[in-house]
Amino acid sequence: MGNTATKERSASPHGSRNRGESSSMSGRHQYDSRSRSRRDLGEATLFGLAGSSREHRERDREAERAAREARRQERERERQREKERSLREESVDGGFLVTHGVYTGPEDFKDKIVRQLIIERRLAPFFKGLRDHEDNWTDAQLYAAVKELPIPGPDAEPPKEEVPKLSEKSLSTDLLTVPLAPRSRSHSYTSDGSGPSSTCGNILGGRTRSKTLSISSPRNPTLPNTAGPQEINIPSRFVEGRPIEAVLYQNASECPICFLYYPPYINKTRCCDQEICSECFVQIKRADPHVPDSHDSNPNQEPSNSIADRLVSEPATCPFCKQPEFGVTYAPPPFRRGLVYASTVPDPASTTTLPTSDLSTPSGASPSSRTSPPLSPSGRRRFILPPTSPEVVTTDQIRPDWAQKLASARAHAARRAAAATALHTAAFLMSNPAPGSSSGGGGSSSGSYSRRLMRRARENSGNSGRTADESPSPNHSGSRTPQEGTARGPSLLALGMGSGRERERHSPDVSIEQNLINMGFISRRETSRERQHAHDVSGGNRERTHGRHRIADLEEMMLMEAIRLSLVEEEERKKREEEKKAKEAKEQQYKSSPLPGLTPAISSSSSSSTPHPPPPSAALTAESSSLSSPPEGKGKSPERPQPPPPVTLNSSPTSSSASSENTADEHRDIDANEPMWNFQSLAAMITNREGSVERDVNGGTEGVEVEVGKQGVQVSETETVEECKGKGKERDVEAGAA
Amino acid sequence: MANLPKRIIKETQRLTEEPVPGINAVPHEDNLRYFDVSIHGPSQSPYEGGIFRLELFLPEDYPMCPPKIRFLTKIYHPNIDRLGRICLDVLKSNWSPALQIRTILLSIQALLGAPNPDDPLANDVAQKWKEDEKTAIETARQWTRTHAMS
Amino acid sequence: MSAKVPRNFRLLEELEMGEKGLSADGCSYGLEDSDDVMMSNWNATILGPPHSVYENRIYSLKIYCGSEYPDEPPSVSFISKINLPGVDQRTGRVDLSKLARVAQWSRNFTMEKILVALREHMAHPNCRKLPQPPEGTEF
Repeated sequence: MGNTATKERSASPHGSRNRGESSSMSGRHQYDSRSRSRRDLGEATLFGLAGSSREHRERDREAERAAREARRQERERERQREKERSLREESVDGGFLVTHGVYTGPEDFKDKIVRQLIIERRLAPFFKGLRDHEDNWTDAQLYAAVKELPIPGPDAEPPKEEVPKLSEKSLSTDLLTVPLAPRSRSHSYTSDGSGPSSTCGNILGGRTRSKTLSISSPRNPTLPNTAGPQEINIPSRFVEGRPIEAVLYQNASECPICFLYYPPYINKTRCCDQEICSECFVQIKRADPHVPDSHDSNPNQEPSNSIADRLVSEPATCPFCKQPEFGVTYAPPPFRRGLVYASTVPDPASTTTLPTSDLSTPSGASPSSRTSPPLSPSGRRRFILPPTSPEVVTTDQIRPDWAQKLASARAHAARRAAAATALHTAAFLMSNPAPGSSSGGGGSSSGSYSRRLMRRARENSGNSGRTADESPSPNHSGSRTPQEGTARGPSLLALGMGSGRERERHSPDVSIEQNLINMGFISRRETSRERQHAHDVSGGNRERTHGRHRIADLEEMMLMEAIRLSLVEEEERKKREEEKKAKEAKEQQYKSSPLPGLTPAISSSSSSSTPHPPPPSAALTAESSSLSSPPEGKGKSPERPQPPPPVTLNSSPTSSSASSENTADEHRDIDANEPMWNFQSLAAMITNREGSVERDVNGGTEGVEVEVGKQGVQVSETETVEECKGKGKERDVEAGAA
Repeated sequence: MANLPKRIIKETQRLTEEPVPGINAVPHEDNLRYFDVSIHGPSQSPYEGGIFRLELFLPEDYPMCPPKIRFLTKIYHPNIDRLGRICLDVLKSNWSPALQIRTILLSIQALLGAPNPDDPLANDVAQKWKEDEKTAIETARQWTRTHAMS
Repeated sequence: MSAKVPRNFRLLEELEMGEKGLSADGCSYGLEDSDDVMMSNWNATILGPPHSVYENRIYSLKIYCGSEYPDEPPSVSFISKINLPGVDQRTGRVDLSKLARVAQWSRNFTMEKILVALREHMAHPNCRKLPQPPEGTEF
C-alpha cells in the first residue's frame, strides 16, 4: 500500500524532510523571528539592487508576457476554428479527427500527428462519447444519442440513406471511393506534410512550415499541391443501409477512464489490452520533469547532484497496469468510411504502408466482413506488444517535444538555483562571524544584519569554532565593520550588501573588475562544485547534514525570497552586458601583467596544476581560515604587495569546464590558496564563457543543494561574493574619481 | 451540474449506491467537486473507534490529476501532517486516472491501519514512531479519543 | 472552468506557493500558526520598494482569511507602522478598495496579489515620498 513520499518540492531526499518540516510545520516561531529580523534596516541594502532599470525590465517583461499570451490565444482560436471545421467535414470510421471536449484543459499533443495516426487507422478516431447508453436501444435511438438529439421512442424510424446511388456505387466497388476534391496541403490546414509514409519527424518539420504558412497565407492556393498526401473522403454515413452511428454504438462499451460509452473499436492498451478511448489517451503524458522519488533513486547517488541534473522525465505508464511506456493499438471496424489517404485506397497493395493494414484490410478484400454487423474486435490479446511495435502508438509519439521540455525545465531549475546560490552567498557573507572573534558573536560587529542571520552566524562559528580560533587575520575584522549597510551598489554589487570593507584591497582595474564581477559570479559556482566534490570525497558527512539544516533554514528566509528573482534577472542581464565588456577588456588589456588578486573562485577554475603553495593545513582548516579572513587571498591590494603565484597557462579555455569534474585533489588548491589569475586565463575564461554558461549555471545549482551546507563551501562563496562586492566598490570608487 | 464530467457524476452515484463500509463521501450541494468525507478508523489500529473527517476536491483536470484530500480531524499519524495533508503515493506521483475516489479513500483507510514511519510527512511523529512505537501508538489512541470521538 | 477550488484547498495552494518561494519580488507570507487547520491567520512581509521612503524597510503585515475567502477578500493590516493612503492610521488596517489592482475583488486573487498591489501602491508617485514614522514602530 506504499505510501511513498513524493518529494517533488525537495532539493534532496534528506534535505527535503528538514525543509518541509521547518517550513511548513514549525511555522510560527521561525516566522516571527524572521519578521522581527527583517525590521532591521541595514540588511536591506541588499535590495538596493532593485534599481530603476528594474522597473523597465518589469514593464518589458509584462509586455512580453502579454504578447505571448496574445499569440497563444491566437493559436488557440485557430485551433478551435480548425476543430470546428474538421468536426463538420471530416471523419474516419465514423469517429472524428479532433477531440470533443471531454477534457477542458489546453491540448498539448501534436494534433497533426494525431490526425495522421487516425487516418492511418493506427489510433482510434475521436468517437463521440455517449453519456448514457442502453443495450436495447434501436438504431433510431442510438442515432439520436450520438447526435445528441432527444432519444425517441423505440418505434422511431432511423434515418434512411439519402443518396442511394452513392452507396450503391460504393457497395459495388467495395471501395467507396468517392473522391472529394483531393486535398492538398495548401488547402487543408491539417493535412500538410503528413504523407501516409511520412514519419512523425517529418510531420514536425511540416508543421513548422505550415505554421508559418497558415499565419501568413492560410489558404494560399498557389502552393503546389504535390508535396502533401492526398486525402480521399468516403462520405457515406451508412453501413449496410443502417446509420453508421447505430452500427458503431450498438455494442458500446464504457471507457474505464472517462466513463463515457464508445463503439467497441476504441484503443486497447498494448500491455494489458484494456480499452481506452482516444480522448483519454491523448491526455495521458509524461509527468512534468521532476526530481525522482527518493525511493527510486539510488541511495548512493551523489547528493551533490543538482536539481537540474537530477530532473527526470519518465515515459507515461499504463493507467491500468502501470507498465511503463504506455501505448495503445487500434483494431478498426471492418468497414471503412471517411478520410483515407489517397494512395492507400486505389491500390490495396499500397496499404502495406499502413502498419495496421493487416488488421484493417480494406473492405474490398473481404466483402463478407462488410456485410456483417460490426464485430467485436477479436478476443483478448494474451501478450504484451512492445512499445516499438509498429502498430503501437505511444504517448511520446503524440508529444514528441518531451525532451525539449525536460531540457528547458533543467535550464529553468539551474537558473533558479543559481540565483539561490547568490542569495546563500549573500547571507553567509553577512553572517560570517568576524574573524578572530572565536565566540562567533563577531557577526554582530557588522551591526547591520538581522538577528536571525546573526544567530546563524553563531551557529556557524560554533560549528567551525575550532578553525575560527585559528583564523590568522584579525586585521580584517576591523576593516569590515564600519560601513556595513551604508553603501549600496547597483545590481549584483548589492550582493556586497553595501559593505565597503574591502575596498582597499582591490585591484584598481575597473573594467576588468567589471568583468570579474560577473565572471566571479559564475566561476564561484564551479568552485563550490569542486568543493562539494572534495567534501564528498573526504566524507564531510557531519558537515553535510548540518549544512542541510542550514539550507533549510536559509531557504525559509523571506529575505532571500525577496531578492532571488531579481537576481535571476540581474544575472541574465549582466551576463549579456558584460560578455561584451569582457571581450573588449580582454583585448585592451591582454598584455598587462598578471592581475593581482583576482578572485579565488576564478582561480579555482584553473587547472589543478597551478603551482600554488601547499595549503598551510588541512583543507578544512584552510577553508575556515579563509572564512575568517576573506581578504586573504583575493585582496592582494596595492598596500599589501604579495607576489601572486603566477598562473599557468593551464587555465586554458577548457579549464573552467574541466575543473568542474575535478575532485579532492584540486580541493586543496582552491581552499588553501589565493590562486591568481592572469589575463590569459581570464581571457580564456571569457572566451570560454559563452559555452560554459549553462554548465556554470548547473554548477551553481549544486551549490545550492549541498555546498552551502559545508563550511568550506560557504567560505568559498563568501569570499567570492565579497570579492565581487569589493570589486564593485572599487569600480564605484573609480567611477567616482573619473 | 451542467459541466460536470460524466465520470464525476457516475462516481458520485456509485459511491452512494454502493457505499464502502466505513467510508462516507457526500458532495457539497453548491460544489459537486467538493466532498465531505468521513472514514472510520480501522479496527486493530490506534484509530479504531474514531471517525475522521476529511475534505476531498476533484480539480479541473481530474481524473488526469489526483483528487486533493486532507484530514480535517486532528490525527496522530506519521504520514499525515499537522494541516491534515496526507503523504500517500497514489495521491501524488503514483496517481493513475484508472483510480477513483473510492479506491483512494480505501487507500487512506488502509494507511491508517498501516502507518509507514519510514516515509514520513509529519517528521516529528514519524521520529516518535520509530523511537518508541508503543508510546506513539498510545498517543495516536489518545488523539483519536480526543479529536475523533465526539 | 467548472471546477471551483474550495477555500481550504485554495489556501493550501497559496501556502505551498509561499513555501516554495514562488512569491513575487519583495513580498512573502506564511501561516501564523502551522497547527491551524483552518489556515485563517497569516503573516506577511513587504520589502519597501526601491526609490521610495520605504526602501530598505521591511513591513510586517497580518492577513486574516475568513470562511468566505476567496469569494470575499481577506482582511489585511500592517503591523509595522506606515504612513500610506488607504492604511488606517490607528489600526493599520488596509482598505483594499484603495488598491487599484485588487479593488474589484475576484476569487482568483491571492494574498500574494494583494501584497504585490500594496507594494506597487507604496511605490506610486503619490505615496513614495510621504513622511514615515520611525522604523520599528508598530500599530
